[in-house]
Parts: sequence; C-alpha cells; structure tokens
Amino acid sequence: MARNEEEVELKQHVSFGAVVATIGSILIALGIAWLIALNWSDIPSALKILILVVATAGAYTAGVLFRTNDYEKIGGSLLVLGALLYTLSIFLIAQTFNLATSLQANAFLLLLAWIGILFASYIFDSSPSLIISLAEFLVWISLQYFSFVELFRGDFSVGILTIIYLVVGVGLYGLTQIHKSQDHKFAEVYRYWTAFYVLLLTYILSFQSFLPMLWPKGFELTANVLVFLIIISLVAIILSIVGIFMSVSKNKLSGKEVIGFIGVVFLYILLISLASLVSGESVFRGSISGGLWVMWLFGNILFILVILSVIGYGTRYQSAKIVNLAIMFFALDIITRYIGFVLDFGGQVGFAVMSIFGGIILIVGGWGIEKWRRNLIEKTKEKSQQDYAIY
Amino acid sequence: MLFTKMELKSKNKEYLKLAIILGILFLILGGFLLYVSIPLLSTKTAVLATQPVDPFDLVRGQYIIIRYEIDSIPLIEGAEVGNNVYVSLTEDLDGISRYKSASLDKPSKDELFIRGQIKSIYGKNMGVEYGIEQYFFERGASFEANDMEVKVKLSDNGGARIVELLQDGEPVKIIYENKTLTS
Repeated sequence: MARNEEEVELKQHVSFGAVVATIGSILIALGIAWLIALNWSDIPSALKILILVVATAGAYTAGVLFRTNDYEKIGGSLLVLGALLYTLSIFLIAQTFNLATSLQANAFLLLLAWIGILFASYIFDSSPSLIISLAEFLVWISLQYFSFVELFRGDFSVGILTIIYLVVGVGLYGLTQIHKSQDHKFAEVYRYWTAFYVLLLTYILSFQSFLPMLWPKGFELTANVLVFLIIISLVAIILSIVGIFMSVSKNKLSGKEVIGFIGVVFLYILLISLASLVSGESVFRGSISGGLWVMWLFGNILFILVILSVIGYGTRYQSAKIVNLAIMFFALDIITRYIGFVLDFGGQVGFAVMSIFGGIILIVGGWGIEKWRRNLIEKTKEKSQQDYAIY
Repeated sequence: MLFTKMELKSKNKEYLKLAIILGILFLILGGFLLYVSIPLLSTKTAVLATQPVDPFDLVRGQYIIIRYEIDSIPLIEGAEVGNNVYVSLTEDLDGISRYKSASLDKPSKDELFIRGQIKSIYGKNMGVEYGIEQYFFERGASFEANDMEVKVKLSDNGGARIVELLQDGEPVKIIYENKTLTS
C-alpha cells in the first residue's frame, strides 16, 4: 500500500514536471512568434529561417534524447515545442516571401502545419504532439470554410459550420474506435476531441440568435463548399464505419453505444435541418416567434442531454478530462444563458437586480458544480481502482 | 554506463524515428520554400503602380496592404469569381508595367504577364488579386508610402513575388527604430 502511494506521488510529480515543461515550451514558442512578428531587418531573412529550422530540429532532437533517457513526459513537452516551432517556420517563410494574408492563404499554411505534426505524432507515438495537431486542425477547418465564403462571396451560414463540426466529430469518433480496437493510447486523445466537437457544436446551436442565421434567407450553397463537405463527409463516414466495425469485432464497443452515437448524430441533423423553418426570423425582444422559442428550447434540452451523456461517457471510460470538459461547457452554458436573460428582460434596475441575484445563483451554482465535479471524479477513480482490483 | 542490447536497440529505433520525422518536416518546409521561391528564380521583372494602406498581422507582424492599378480591370466574357486570369502588361515610357489585355488562357511565354484570381465582378469591371498585396516590414519602422511602385519577379506561368518597393525608381528608404530590451 505504502509503495502504491509512493508510486502515485512520484507519478504526480512527474506529471507536474511535464505540465511545467509544457508551459515552458509554449512560452518559448510565444516568444519566438513575437520575435517573428517584430521582423527585425538586421537579421537577413534566410538566416531567420535557418535559425528557426535548426531550433525545430534541436527541439525534436532534445525531445528524443529526453525520452530515451527515461524522461518521457519532459521529452513529450519538447516534441510539443518542436511542433510549434515547425508551425512558426511555415509562417516565417510566408512572411519572408510576402505571401497573401487572406483566409485561404492562412488556411493553406495551417494545412501544411497540422499534417506535418500529425506525422510526427504517429512516428513518435506522442499524445501531446497529436493534441497540437488536432488544435491546428480545428483552426484550419474553420478557416477553410470562412475562406470559401470570402473567396466566392457566398453567404455565411452557421448551419454549414455546424455540419462541418458534426462531420469532424463523426470522423474523430471513428478514429477513437480504430485506436481503441488496437489498444492504442491515442484513443483517449481522439475521444476527448470527439467530446469537444460535440459540445462545441451543441453550444453554438444553443444560441437563440444563431438559429435564424443557420440558413440565411436566399442562402445558396456554392459548388466549392459542397465539394469540400462531400470530401470530409466521405472521409468521416468511412472512418466511423471502419472504427465501429473494428471495435465491435474485438468486443470493445457495445451495440448500445453505437445506437446512442447514431441517435445523437440524427438529433443534430434534425435540429440543424429544422432551423431552416426559422430562417431569417427576428430575434429582438417581443418579436420572437413561437417556432423559434420551441427550436431554442429543443437546442438547449439537447445541449443538457449531450453534457450529461458526455459526463456518462467520461465516467464509463474513466476519463476525468472528459468529465471536466463537460462540466466546463455546463458552466459556460449557465453563464451564457444568464447573460442572455439579462439582455432579454433587463432594464437598468432590472439589470442591477438580476446581476445581484444572478451572481448569488452563480456562486452557489459554482460551488455546487465544483462539488458535483469532485464527486464524479472520485467515483471515476473508485471505479478505476475496482477495475485494477479485478486484475 | 552500460546499456543492455534491448535498451540500445530501443534507442536506435528512437533515433531512426527522429531522422524520419526530420526528413518529412524538412521535405514539407523545403518543398514550400521552393514553391514560393519559383517566381524569384525568373528573369522576368515588372514594376507596378500602387495605392497602399497599412495593418498588422498577429503572427506575421506589420505589413502594408498594396492596392495595384491592375487590381481593377475590364471584365472578360465568361469570367467568374474564383477563375484564374492572366493579365498581359506593357511598359510605359517611365518603365512602369501597365494593363494591356487580359485572358482566361495563358499567354505565350514571350509575353510579359501576371497571373491573378478574380475576386469580384462589378459592372463592366472585375477585381483581381495577384498574391502580392502585402509587404511585411520591421515593427515600428516607417516609410513614405505615397507614389510608390513595386518591383516584382514573374515566373513562366505568371506567378509573382515582390522584390522591392520603389519610389521614383529608387528603393524605398525605410526608417528603423532603435531596438532595446524594453522597446
């Protein structure tokens, strides 16, 4: 038992060191990004690129050296630094050659960045590196859609953005299953990001003011956006079918979960499609239609259901990170709805009164949420210990 | 320190992985570098007339947005937003390359032309961008941006890269701030 506690303590120290080293890596990258932005003319452009490329190679080499000398986590942080420096190298080259600053140009730079880092993640088997790649992927896919709208002067539709996030969520779920079936540690990372996309998507759909913007009046889908949607949808569907098949065949996925997953996707498609019924409606106080209220209520009930499902999912897979993520979105929902109510119903006195009462509710709610979060994590830990006891 | 055979093998595997990933990343960076340098390797140059303004990019720093005389050109029949367009240029007596004609098809190599993308269509004109609408410079530096021309290099397929900014045929004088640790 004492040995067990020692091990846990050592693990916590290692983990704390890794967190500190990762913050250090991010700080270095931020400092270098700022230096690039300063664009010192005293240093020739070629030398600047060379310095950054050598620094990227140096960070990766140091990362590998730490990993091979039993400092796995610190090595992982340096791989993160390498990934960030590689990204910055791409942006520095773009600066040096005065490449376009349009959304499409930045999307292209990010595409080069996340693909390179994804390769590095798999070759080094590094979860922190994969997280950087997925974060850049999120920015890339959003920018890519915005750039299509900018480039082809199409209508911006929140609906298309939510469909893109839904499709990516489906693809990530597939990747989670593929990695789970292989007992690969990346399953945890993909699972977290699946939950993130699902929560982000539902959060967007929970805004009353966004629902009429999902499908703006007279909205027309441009051919480029359609092709983009078809390509990412095909990839996502193939990944999810392959993933589910692989996991089910190895008895690592229950039929219930598959039905639940399909059900959630169906509910999203239903909500996104139904939003066309309230297209272009006014969201100003007193002029909101019954249909929009019903839709908004549906969106918010779905959000709460998704949060609870994600918490259940996190507890089932003993992932405190996923539980924390769901709680964070729950808190975000409470704050957003509170601000929404103040804006909808408050005059100046009303605002003051609602702020005070709302503040008290938030403090009590915050305490309740924290207690709830701790309870859930405690239960997750207990379940995890029970599972270890079996072996 | 003595390593077991297993440890040595595992270390060698890690170094091999390092070599592979550095190879892949350098290949991407090198390929990108080559792709953006192609127009600079060309011998074709043109000096273009401008109308600039200046913003700031959070990642890449301070730059000026350059509006070119050839940003707005007469509409070509059948042209659509997003199409590539090839603008043929002709030099005037001051050595400034100006609009001669435009086509959706690539002109012959002997002709001086620049490739752009149609961004908008309004009336009988169309707005075109050439990917050379920005010029980055040191943060805090300043220069007179009026009556400026831009010297560009043009590749065989019309791709353009900025070489330098000119004023009355001479490179623009940029005034730099003295940099200190607290600046």
